[in-house]
Amino acid sequence: MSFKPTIYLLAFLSLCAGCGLTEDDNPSPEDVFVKFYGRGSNEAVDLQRTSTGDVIILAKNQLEDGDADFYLVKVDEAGNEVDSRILDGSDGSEDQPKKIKAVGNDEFLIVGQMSTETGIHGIWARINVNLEVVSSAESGSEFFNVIDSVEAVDIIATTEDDGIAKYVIIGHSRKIYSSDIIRNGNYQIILTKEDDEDSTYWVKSHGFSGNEFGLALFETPQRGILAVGEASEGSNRGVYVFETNRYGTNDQGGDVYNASSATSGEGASPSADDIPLGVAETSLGYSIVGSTLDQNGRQVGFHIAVNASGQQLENKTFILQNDYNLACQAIDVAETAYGELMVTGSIPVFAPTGDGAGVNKLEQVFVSRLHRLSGRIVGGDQNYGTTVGNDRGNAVLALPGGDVLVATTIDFGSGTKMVGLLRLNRYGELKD
Amino acid sequence: MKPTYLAILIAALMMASITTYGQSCTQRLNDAEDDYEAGRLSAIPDKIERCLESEQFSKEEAVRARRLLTLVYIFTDQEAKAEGALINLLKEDPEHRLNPQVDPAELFFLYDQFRTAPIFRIAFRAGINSSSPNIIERYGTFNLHTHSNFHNGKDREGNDSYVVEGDSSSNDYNSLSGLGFGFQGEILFESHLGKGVELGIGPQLRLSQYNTDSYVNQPDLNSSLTNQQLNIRLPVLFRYTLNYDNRDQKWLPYVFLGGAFDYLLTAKYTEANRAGGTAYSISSSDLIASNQVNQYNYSFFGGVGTKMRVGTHFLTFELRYDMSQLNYINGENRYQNDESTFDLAFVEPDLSLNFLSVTLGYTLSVYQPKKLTK
Repeated sequence: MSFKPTIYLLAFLSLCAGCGLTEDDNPSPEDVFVKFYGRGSNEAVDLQRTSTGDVIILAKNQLEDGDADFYLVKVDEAGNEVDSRILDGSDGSEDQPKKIKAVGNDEFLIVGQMSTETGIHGIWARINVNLEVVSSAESGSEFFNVIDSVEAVDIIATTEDDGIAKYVIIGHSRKIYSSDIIRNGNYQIILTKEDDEDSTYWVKSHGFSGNEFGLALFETPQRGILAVGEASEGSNRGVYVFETNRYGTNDQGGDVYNASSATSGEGASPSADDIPLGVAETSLGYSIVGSTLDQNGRQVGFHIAVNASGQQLENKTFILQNDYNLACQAIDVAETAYGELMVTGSIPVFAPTGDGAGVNKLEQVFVSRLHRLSGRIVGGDQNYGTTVGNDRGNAVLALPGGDVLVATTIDFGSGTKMVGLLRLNRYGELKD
Repeated sequence: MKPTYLAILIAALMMASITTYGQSCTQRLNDAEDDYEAGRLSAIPDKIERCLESEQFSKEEAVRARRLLTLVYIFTDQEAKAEGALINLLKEDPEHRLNPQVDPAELFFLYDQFRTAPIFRIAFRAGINSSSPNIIERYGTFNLHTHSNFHNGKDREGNDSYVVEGDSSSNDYNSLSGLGFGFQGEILFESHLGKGVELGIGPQLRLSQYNTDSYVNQPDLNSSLTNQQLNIRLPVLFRYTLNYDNRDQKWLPYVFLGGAFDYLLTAKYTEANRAGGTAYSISSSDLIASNQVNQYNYSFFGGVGTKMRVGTHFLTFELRYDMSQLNYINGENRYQNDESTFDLAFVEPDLSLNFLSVTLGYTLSVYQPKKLTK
């Protein structure tokens, strides 16, 4: 017999050589992921990316029996927390963070509100990538600059010639300023320019006779300011967009847009139920998303596109619905590397009828894609979250490769809410 | 005489007749052996063949009788009958051993021309296994820099608890579950290739499970799951048995190496719970239907064991280690199970499954004696 069993054995051993799989500690940064952060009760608010690809999430944290504070989490590209920090507005204050903005040199502005015995005040600070506050705080707050009686919601760094960093903050207030034309004690949108040495350069109020609320602001190429907010008159609400010069003065008058009404444009009054909740700068100008009521009185999302001067882009305003035809709201939007708009928000009660009937997941994170030019929904939407709690997509950030990050609040029930960070593919899916 | 008494009498006579006939077969065999010693060969077949045909010999007598017939045909130059007799002898006693002290060289010569080894063996085996997930790439909804999954009660360093530096809770993170055990059964067809090396192949059914625990960055929010798999496998192995040809050896130690094609029939979480917040449990989950796992895999394995000879058959006891070569988890859909990702706050890492198993078996030898072609 010519058979040589040792040859078989050697051949088999050579097959086995190096066949063991080895551990790799580093998931590919391109992988989608879901990560949770925080202890106690947390709510995600906003997020920004650092120059090295890390991400800073701004959130609200409230430990048991504690006051609500600003909560900053820095995570690496794979979503793993590398640092975190809690910032308290002041002792005993209930703090509500609103926005985080990149200002260059890997520094970021954070802005929000603190509620104290003396009322609600705006607070802001500049932080570095190590989450350290690098701006000079005012007396009365360990970390923040304070704007009395203004419920601050957004902040930008302005372009300056004198080398002194200055910032414009948008908010709203019932406070009556000397320059106010309307003095009825309703909310007016406030723009104020400050530096972190406690100097205030100007304060301007904008609005009509009803309540106006600030939402976001951007610096225009002419160093003016494009502001977005909400205007209301009685029970009607609309999107309020106005542009000012560098001193916060609006010479043009504001425009009010309604997603679910034909009455839009300059001089129009709010005539619907549109509540803007998020704004993003896009290649066409700005995209504004929010919540409105459809003709059946059901809550739905909306998208309104305006150009760089704040003029509404025709035929790009749409009501946003979802695959299950459930009530929903759009809270934030970002333009992706593929030129699409990614919207996040929530489906307040995820209890479908028909397909999926019998499921009730309470509030679910909602993610939908819009065509950049047409504003129409592209493909199906996605929903994420727990069965036992109210989950919500609060902010979306487009990544260079086309993926998006969605900062969410994930509710595990019984008061345990965590900040959730979802890296989704270009279609909004949790799929590589 | 009543019919009953008649029947009893007939039965008794028949029994007596059979007993007498049986005794006579023994006597006939003794006589035939005496005839052989005396060189009276011609009458021997007639004396014993009838007893063989009617199976009146005991097992030992039948072997003696068939050996005697073989010798008679050898020495009466009836080659074809001698070969037939030897085949019958080997069927009666498959591993019949010749004795140089008493068996003539002619019998040795004839014997050597025949296949006396089993054509194959068939083993029926069953045992228990314990899985050991081999992490290929870590994934988790928790912070991978500071936290770790426990698999079967051990973290990456093999500890049953860990601490997180700077953790404000100053708590230990302890494993919540222990080893996952399963069972397997297989039928293995074995063939001797030569020099103590055997080739084995046959289907195996393996039920296995592993436990995994993880903390979502805090001691009071954790998930604990049991992932169970049912695989049908086709292992192929090479086994080297020490002293394979030594039929006097009762215990035969062996080593083996092999590979297997594995197909996942079912995969599910038999238990899946999250504690913290509002506790949540998944009652059932089909991980194949939700495309969470890969159904095809292949493995390499090796081990040691020992056979205990029981006649021509064997009892076996072996220790074996299996190493799957492909990712058990379908990474593309890792996060697609909403219930797992969000309600349990759990996602599976990329992992291959290794198994340590203990198996008991019984191996039957199947013979088909025949003259070997030159």
